[in-house]
Amino acid sequence: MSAQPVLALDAVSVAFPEAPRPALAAVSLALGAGRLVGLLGPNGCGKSTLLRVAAGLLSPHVGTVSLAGKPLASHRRDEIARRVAVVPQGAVVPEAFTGWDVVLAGRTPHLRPLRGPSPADEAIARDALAAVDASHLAGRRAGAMSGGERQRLLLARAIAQEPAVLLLDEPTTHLDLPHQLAVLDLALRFSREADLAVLAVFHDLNLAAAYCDEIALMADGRILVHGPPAAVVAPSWIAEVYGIDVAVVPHPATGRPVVLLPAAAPARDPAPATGPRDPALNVLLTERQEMAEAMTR
Amino acid sequence: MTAAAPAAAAAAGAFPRRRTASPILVAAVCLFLAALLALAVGKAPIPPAQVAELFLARFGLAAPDAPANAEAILFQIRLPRIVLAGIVGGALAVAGAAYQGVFRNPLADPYLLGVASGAGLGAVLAFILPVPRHLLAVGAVQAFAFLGGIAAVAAVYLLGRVGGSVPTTALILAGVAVSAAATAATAYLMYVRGDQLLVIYSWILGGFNVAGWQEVRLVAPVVLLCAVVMAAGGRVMNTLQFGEEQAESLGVPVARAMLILIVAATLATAAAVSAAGLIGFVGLVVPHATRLVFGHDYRQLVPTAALLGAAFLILADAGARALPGPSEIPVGVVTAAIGAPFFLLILRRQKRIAFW
Repeated sequence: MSAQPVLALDAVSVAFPEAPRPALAAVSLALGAGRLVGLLGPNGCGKSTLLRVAAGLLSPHVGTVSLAGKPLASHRRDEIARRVAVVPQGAVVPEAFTGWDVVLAGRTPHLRPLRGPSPADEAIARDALAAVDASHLAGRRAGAMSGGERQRLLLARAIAQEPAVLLLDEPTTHLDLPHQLAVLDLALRFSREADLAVLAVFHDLNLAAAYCDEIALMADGRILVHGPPAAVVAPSWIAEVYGIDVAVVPHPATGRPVVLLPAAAPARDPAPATGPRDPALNVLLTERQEMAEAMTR
Repeated sequence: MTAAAPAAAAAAGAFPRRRTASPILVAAVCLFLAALLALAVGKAPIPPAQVAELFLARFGLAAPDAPANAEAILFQIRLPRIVLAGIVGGALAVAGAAYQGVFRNPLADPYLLGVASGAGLGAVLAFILPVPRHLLAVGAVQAFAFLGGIAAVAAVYLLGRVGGSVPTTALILAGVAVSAAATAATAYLMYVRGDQLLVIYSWILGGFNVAGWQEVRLVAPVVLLCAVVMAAGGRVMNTLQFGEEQAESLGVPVARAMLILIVAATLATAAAVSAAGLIGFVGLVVPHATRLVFGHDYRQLVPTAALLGAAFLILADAGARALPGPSEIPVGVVTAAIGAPFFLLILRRQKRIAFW
């Protein structure tokens, strides 16, 4: 791992006035260049709040956030935007804007006052569109696009900012499986090729385990555990955070953890095997059945 | 057959180069033609050829042979009135465009945060209180209207603040509340001072019948300065269309940018209202129609709306002067009478295009 993190949260706490407990309680997290970090946890555990603090959109009440070694609060707004890009969750995209307008907006923090985008800015925006395979959306209006297309445009806009840190708030929500994988492939590629530090909020444990270099698991405004997927996506942690007993098996090809959910209803007797059955699968099915029985009791 | 040619054409079409000057140019031509027409028409029409001749003579380029009273009408009465109408129309349209951009709402108009009702109350106070008719170089009514408008918006801004931030919804609701209070106070004062009713009401309706170079000198610098500020904020307003949080993460200091734009729009509107009363319709419809015709890019929208607002109010005022009747028709009546059908026409022609 690189010596100095690009973006670091140090013992950050945030409390909202009406909330019974702090949204973030002494959270520390360091993002290194070229690494994809997943942020997981149940609804309301503080993932989005952490992302907003990391983006400088919310000032922590206690603790510090540092960007490239300097406190985030000492950077001007446009300085932050040149280094940190955010792809928000369910973001508003003005319907009348074309894809080109959306991506070019990513150059905003780089423009000099009263100047329009230069040919160099336009070239960067064009490359960003091509990188997310969305060049054909340049002339279309956002109001006529699907959720997946808008999501890719927002990713292109973030890339056009030429950031060092990319923050993705549930980038795969509302997308079908191919689009989920496409967006995460892109995030992974950018982290490798452009040496970006990427922090992405996930709900899907398997997607996170498949793509992330590190995973931070949150509950009640704290990070309970932070480490490689194999260490974090484990039955004990998942039981503690989500209160669900799951089985975790290694992916046959990659060895990364794969979460098997408990059966929703008692499984029927296993259907007669149509061929020689893998003994490991038998073990697995028996386990799941036992688990389901345990849950219905 | 080659595949390269269509591909190149598609690439060229996908990334259109902006022709930044054209809407502004079109609007400038509109303004010029409107001013020319307005100089010619009136209770005493002056033929356009004579207008041109008088202008040339003014700069020593032709021998004056027009009647002397035509020259007086043109330069002492008609020209300052047209210039003032242009400045007021431009101010209202540019402020409307800025409010619509900042609040991301096509129904926002320059009076959204209470300038009009504050100015109205100020003007009524000047009419009924025993104040001298002139304060410094400014008429008391104008001064009170200007300050009343600014005071109302300042009150709205302070009431709408929640901690360090100013949520737009809170701001708009505070605007509604302050407007209602000021309007109620105005109505009460008009009721108890029935003797002043006609004077007050004709001021509220608005118009340019007493416009001279003095008013132009007072209003023009404020309006021009504020219009430049709002035009310079075009890119910020473009970014604001993504919403405040996204704009912030794209590098816009949102709270400060909004404050600067609101202050500029308020000063321009207060100056316009103090000179011409409460002229409706221009500030709502001109920026909206401009967006329908020329698109949503605020870098072009703001200056284009300013020029078209000027042209529109100059024409409306020319109509108010030229239409037959025992006395002049209030210009606010004309703006609505010309503007509403024109606006509906544009809406119908463009209704297939998403405009927000």
